[in-house]
Amino acid sequence: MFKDKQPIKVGILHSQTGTMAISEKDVIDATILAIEEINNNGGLLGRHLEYMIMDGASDWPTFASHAQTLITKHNVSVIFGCWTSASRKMVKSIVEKYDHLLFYPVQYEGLESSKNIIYMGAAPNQQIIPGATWALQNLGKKFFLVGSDYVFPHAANNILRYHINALGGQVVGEKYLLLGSSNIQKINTIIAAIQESSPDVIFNTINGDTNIAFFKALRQAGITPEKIPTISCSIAEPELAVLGTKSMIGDYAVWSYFQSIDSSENEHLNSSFMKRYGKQRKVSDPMEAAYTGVHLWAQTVESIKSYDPIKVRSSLSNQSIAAAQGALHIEPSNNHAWKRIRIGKIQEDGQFNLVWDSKKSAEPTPYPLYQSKKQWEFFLQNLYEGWGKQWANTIS
Amino acid sequence: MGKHYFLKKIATFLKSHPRIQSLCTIIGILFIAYLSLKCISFYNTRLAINKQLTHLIQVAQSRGHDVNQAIDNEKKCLQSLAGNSAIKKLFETKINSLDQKFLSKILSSAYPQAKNIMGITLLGEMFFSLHPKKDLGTNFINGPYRHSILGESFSRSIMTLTTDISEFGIYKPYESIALFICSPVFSNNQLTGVIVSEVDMVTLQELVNNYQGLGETGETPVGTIRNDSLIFINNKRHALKRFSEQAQLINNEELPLYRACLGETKSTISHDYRNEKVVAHWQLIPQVEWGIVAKSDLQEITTSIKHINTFSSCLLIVILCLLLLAIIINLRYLIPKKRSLNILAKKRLLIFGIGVSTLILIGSLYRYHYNITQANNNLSTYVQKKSLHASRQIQTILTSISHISDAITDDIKEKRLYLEDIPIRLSRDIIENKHVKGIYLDIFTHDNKTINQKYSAILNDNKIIHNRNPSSEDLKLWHRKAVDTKDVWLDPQHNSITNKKNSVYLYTEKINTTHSVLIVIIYSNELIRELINDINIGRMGYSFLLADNGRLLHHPIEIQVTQKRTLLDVANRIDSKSAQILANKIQTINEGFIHIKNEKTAQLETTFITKIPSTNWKLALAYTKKTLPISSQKIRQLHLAIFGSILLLILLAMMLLTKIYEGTFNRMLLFSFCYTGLMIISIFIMWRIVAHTESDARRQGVMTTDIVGLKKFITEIERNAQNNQQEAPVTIPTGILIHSLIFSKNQTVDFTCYVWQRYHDEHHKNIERKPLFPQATKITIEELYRTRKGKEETIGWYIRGTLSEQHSFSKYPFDTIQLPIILSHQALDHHIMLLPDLASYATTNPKTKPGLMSNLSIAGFDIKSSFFNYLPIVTHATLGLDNYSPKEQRYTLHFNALFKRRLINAFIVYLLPLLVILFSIFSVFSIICRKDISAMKPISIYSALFFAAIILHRNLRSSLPTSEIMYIEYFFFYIYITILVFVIHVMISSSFEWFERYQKKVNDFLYLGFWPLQVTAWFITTLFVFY
Repeated sequence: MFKDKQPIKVGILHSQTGTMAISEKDVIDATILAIEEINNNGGLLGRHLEYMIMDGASDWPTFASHAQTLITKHNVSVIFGCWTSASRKMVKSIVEKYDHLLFYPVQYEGLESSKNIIYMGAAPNQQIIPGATWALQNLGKKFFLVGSDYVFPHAANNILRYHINALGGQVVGEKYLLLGSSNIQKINTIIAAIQESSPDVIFNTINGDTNIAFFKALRQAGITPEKIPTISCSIAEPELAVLGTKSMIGDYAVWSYFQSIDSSENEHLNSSFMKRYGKQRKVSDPMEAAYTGVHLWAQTVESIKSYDPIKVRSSLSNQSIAAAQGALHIEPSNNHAWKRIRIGKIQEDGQFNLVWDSKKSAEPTPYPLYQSKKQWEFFLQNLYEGWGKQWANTIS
Repeated sequence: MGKHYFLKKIATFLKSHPRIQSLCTIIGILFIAYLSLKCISFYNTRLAINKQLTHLIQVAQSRGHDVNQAIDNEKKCLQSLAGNSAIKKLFETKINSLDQKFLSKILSSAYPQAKNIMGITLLGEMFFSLHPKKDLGTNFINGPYRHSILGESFSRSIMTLTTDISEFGIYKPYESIALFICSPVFSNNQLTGVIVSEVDMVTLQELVNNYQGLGETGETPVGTIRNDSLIFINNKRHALKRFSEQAQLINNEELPLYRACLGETKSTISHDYRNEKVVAHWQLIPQVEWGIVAKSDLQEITTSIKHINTFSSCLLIVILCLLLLAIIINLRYLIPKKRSLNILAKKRLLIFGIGVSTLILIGSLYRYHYNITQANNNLSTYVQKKSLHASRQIQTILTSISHISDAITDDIKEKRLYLEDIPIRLSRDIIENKHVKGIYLDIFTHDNKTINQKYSAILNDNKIIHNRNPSSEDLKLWHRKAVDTKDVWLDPQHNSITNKKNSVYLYTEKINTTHSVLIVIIYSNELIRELINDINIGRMGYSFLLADNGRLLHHPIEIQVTQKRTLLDVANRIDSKSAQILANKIQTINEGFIHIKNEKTAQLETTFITKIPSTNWKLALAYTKKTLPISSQKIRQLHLAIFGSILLLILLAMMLLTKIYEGTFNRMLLFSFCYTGLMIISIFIMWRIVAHTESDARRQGVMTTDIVGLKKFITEIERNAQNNQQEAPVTIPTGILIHSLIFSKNQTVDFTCYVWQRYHDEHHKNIERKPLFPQATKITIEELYRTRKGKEETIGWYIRGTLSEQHSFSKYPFDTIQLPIILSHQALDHHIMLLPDLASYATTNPKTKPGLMSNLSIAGFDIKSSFFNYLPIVTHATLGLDNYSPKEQRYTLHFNALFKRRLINAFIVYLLPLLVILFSIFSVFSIICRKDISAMKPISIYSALFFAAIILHRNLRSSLPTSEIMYIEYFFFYIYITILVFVIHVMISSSFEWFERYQKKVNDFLYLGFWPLQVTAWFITTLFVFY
């Protein structure tokens, strides 16, 4: 069908190895599924989509070099990739340098807005802020903040401190674990701090497989969801399957998408994904965002009849898409997606039971109103400098 | 065989047959011309559609952009207001009484177009509103409106710290459609509350209610999805009339507007809310998440190229005719000798034909099954969605009731509510919860022996009365039941506090170590009933609510509820086994479908059950197959396909059995006889189907056969009027009883009847008391009586008059006459809508003929049914009235009587003589064939028969004054043609000697083909007229 025409090249840049592989492999699968769907429906502008996968290996400089390779050597039209903010920040400098386009599928700390990045995941006011507000209203006022030692949890917790204080809550502790670390001693120190401060709720921004060790230690210490519930921002259905659902029942997560949503678009996504990769596979929020991102990009290309990154970028704000999480469109002022917000409670079957639903998409505000943009940028710069010009702490 | 063996053979054949060769050339040229025309037509259609699509994309984008821009303006104004230092201070201090002048000054500069501005604290309390309405002082975190559109928007704004635009929908405190914008207010980096503005919807609707540049049929409907249902935000250009359309509309996720609301952007040909084929572009209006569709009817676009299609169709017919001619020439003159050798081949061909027609029959049956199954599935999904949605809403109402007791108990326990403040709290809870009619609260010792404190508040004539205590029996019962189960829902029963029959919710909990509290909430089921009534399916469907003990809590027949019957009681009373089975099955399942065949109607009845978790009530929705969302025309087409394939199969089988392929006269005669018989049977079957099928035309308008449906329709009209800021109609219950009817000539009907109307002293002040019959050419109205009951006055009139009646006789004698009597009111300067006074009729089922005297009879007709319906008034004049807009949708009440013509009359008067004439023609011809008779004799007989037919025909036309061709007239035409053919035959036989060579063949053809041709013509005519 596409014999005579050159394919349109797209890049997929995620970690297939390292600590983030547990989450990012699923996102690769969702991205490929969307690309295959487009090809099966006749391609784009009568041409085949050809994807190049590069392994970021959970190493942020590798992400940057691979992004450069994809743009300069492979001439891709767009990059779908990154999970951690550290990796995104590294790739950001590359896509900005080459005036290219990155579709970023994961929720993040905000405090950023680039014309070269389409933020398909939730901004802070679409995930962490609603999560904290709901917890304040329903679980209690004392918060313990725990996260991975890199830019997302640090920035998120900083925002949370402002927000919790503004609403009359209290942060009784804040601890970090190195990304990818399963240092039992360190984890036990954090558990002890939690027990000592006896919070009403634990707000968890730990990423990757560190969660396995953390939750194991938490339960061993007798901290169950009934005693102190946890609200997580990086645990979705696939992670739950790895962590083991039983010990997690009763904890919460905040996302735009849950696999249990009742909509025909979600039904289509789930059935296609399971048909392609097996019935045991789960679909999560970042996977849905990655899948929707590919289709949104394709829809834009089709409508402007061009895959030039600059033209696509400028036309994205005119597009909307029927996504599995609900109607989705891009805010032209900051390139972030308007997204639904949902809070779910973990059930026995590994799915989430909705306890709160915004019922409508919320406007993305990457810079929460508690501080000015400059102040937030200064805060980030301090972190960067403090970690030796890196976006993650590597020294325990 | 060589590579081009067949081509070479054809070339040799054509070379040796120049006539065929030239015919093939003509056919070839015509075929190329046909293909070219088709291509031009296709190209033009695509071009017109693409052009229109480009235009529609622009329209949708520009209208969507306008709406977005308007919303953005409002948003920015509100955000600037939220950033205003005076407003920030206001939120810090939360001053209840505002300096209006001061606020107006701020607004006039920051937000000049503000319709209403409100302030809500972080704790959810509305502490100021520019236009104080019922919601001032209410709490949006734990109050009754927390799930309202404003409550949800407030919650989102707090949760996301952004300016939020609410969903579009009814805001209960205002009892009208509204849209709000909520913006968080920050003061010194602290969130202090949310400022709210109400958006002026009229301005927004005006932006999209503009049909300019959209031709005759184009429009830009805007909608949103709330609770899985589509809500139209602006007026629809085309009205919806039928239930099936409404059902498809709400449920149909394929509908462009629904897809647009989900975020889809697309431009294509699709079906709109009327199920009309349209060229449409749809997209999301981002900030508000509304869908917009810019569309035009496909028919309007393709009209310009219609003539090309017609011409190409004509050309195709010519080509087919020529092809047929070529085949005939080929068979008859060029290769005649081979015919006798092909008997076996013909037999095989027939067997092959039977096989193919069997496959066609199987295909038709499968298609029928598929369509019906599909429609059934759609209906099941619709029913399921509506039921689950209603049960969720009922659950929400019940939760809001239980929440009152939870909140009161918590506040007492936490000492947020002091005992002396309890009466105020109870009053407020009653005011805020429309369905709560009274609350009783007592504090008693744990041993249930001593009651220390009692409080009560009830709503009586819109006033709150306190300290009305229940009877000791009620108190004992409540304490016993509540202490046993902590919370319990009692079925509707009389209680001694409100002294009325209401539902009761009991709740008890310990408030300290020594005391407990009992809270009794008395509530009305009205809202729950409305919800249940809202999910009715079609005319035959209904819904009911059952308590956990099987007692009916809601049923369309009120007496079943008032008599405290269970479903089993009802089943026993009507002695229905199917109802008994249903009653037993409902007890055993919590959710699902029950399919039972009703032994009385022989129809499959389906009931969908859902459980309401908090009370264990069961909501049931019953409907029959007749409700299927598939048009009767479609079903008729499917039936026709099956019928046609059966006919083809029988015909081929008959050809095989009669061995027609042998070609002998006797075989052909036998086939002719069988074929005629088959066609006669088919015609009778079609007549029977026609006589027993109700046409769609008879169901036009909004039919009202039950009070519940009528109430629903009126509520919708009132709601629409409110939304469009139009005058709501004043309703007057009106009844009619027809005493006599006489169909006279010249399309008029003389009638006498009684009409009565009920007037209310308050609602119908300054309204003249008299009905109007706008279509009557003569009318005499005599007042018979006036009676009074309280504030209601009933006036009865005796009416004699003549109505002009427009009726189509095109299907005579299988026509059904629908006689509509339009009922109106003298006071045209008021927006009056007459309501059928259904309560005055013993039964309102159309088949029982309400509104007609039981002994009413009309010569030549059977009265089939009578009913009321509403039809929209289509007028292009204001009648000189300021309050009357031609755009405004108004309805008139019609009383309809349906009459079916008795076939026996037409059969004796017309069909029988026609058959005799036909038989006479055939007899004369048979005699001519066998005997040598002078030409004058048969011609004179044919002439006599022609005159007989023409007199009969003239008689028919004069008795039924119509400009149309009637169905029966086609038979006259066929007789004229037959006579003409036979006269020509006689003439040629007697005048031209060369004809003798063909005489026998022609005679055989006419003899064998006479009846088959006649019945085939009748069959095809019947098919065309009725299908």
